[in-house]
Amino acid sequence: MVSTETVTALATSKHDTVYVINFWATWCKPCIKEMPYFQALADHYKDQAFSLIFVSVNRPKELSMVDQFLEKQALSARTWLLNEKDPNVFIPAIAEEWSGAIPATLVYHPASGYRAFYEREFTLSSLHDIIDPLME
Amino acid sequence: MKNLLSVVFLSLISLSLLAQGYSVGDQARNFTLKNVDGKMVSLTDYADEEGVIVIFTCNHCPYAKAYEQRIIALDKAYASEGFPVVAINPNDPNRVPEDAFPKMQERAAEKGYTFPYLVDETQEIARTYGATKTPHVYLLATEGNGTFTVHYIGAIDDSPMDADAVDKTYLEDAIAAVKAGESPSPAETKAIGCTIKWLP
Repeated sequence: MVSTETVTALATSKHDTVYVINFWATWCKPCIKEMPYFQALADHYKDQAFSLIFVSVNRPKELSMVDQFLEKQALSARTWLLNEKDPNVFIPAIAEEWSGAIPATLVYHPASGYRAFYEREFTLSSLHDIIDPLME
Repeated sequence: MKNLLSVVFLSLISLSLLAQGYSVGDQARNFTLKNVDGKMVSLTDYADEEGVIVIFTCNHCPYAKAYEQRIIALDKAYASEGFPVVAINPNDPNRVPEDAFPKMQERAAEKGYTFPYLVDETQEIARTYGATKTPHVYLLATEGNGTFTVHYIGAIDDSPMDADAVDKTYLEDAIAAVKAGESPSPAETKAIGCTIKWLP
């Protein structure tokens, strides 16, 4: 369980790492469909300065449900559950341009000040399209 | 070539303007969309009301399902107060079969919707309004001359998946403000929801 600040603090991390933060929920079908692509991307960059974090927007009291869901998935990336209630508070705090739809993905490269926000679904190739240039 | 480029540039600008959708204070355009009973419903049919609660929603989305009873309750509470609900499903049924028109009819009948549940087949209304997800609310008030103005955009309340844990009734507060002749505060909130399934 993490606060909104834990997520946004990654932007000012001192590490020369590309952070890919994917917002999802157990009941969001398009989210679940794309999670393996994010994992495959993380596996591809496993020995490099790359960090994938899945952030669930399930309700805090659904922690055990999120855990049960994850046990059935072949996802090794870090997973956080957002310990926040009101989307009108956490959505603009995480990304002002986020209209509120999920899936949503935030990309930070603090070393270069790079930040991008995507309110869309990804395939593995469309993920490579946006991340590969950052990893060069 | 220069002309062609400027045409391309201008059309890009107008596309991005379209993508912006409405802000609070904008005049809302009329629509005429097919209801689950097969009849056409227009926004202008509501010219004698104080306003309309337009909710972009759908069958399949878990957030929409979680809000369904609350939407039914809103219509029950506010239709007689001059603010009836009009629900609009903007999703491409080829991408989500559960959101197809016959399924909308089933759902409306099953749950006894007391309000129209319209299909936005071309998605023109969702795009013009700037809806991005379901559910996504636009509170409109009539201006007395058959036109409607947007007074509130966003979430119904602060507890999408748990009706028993609502602390902030954003939409109801906005209706109360409009009825009192005041500006809603907040007039815009961020609603979480399922991405609208756009046509290819």
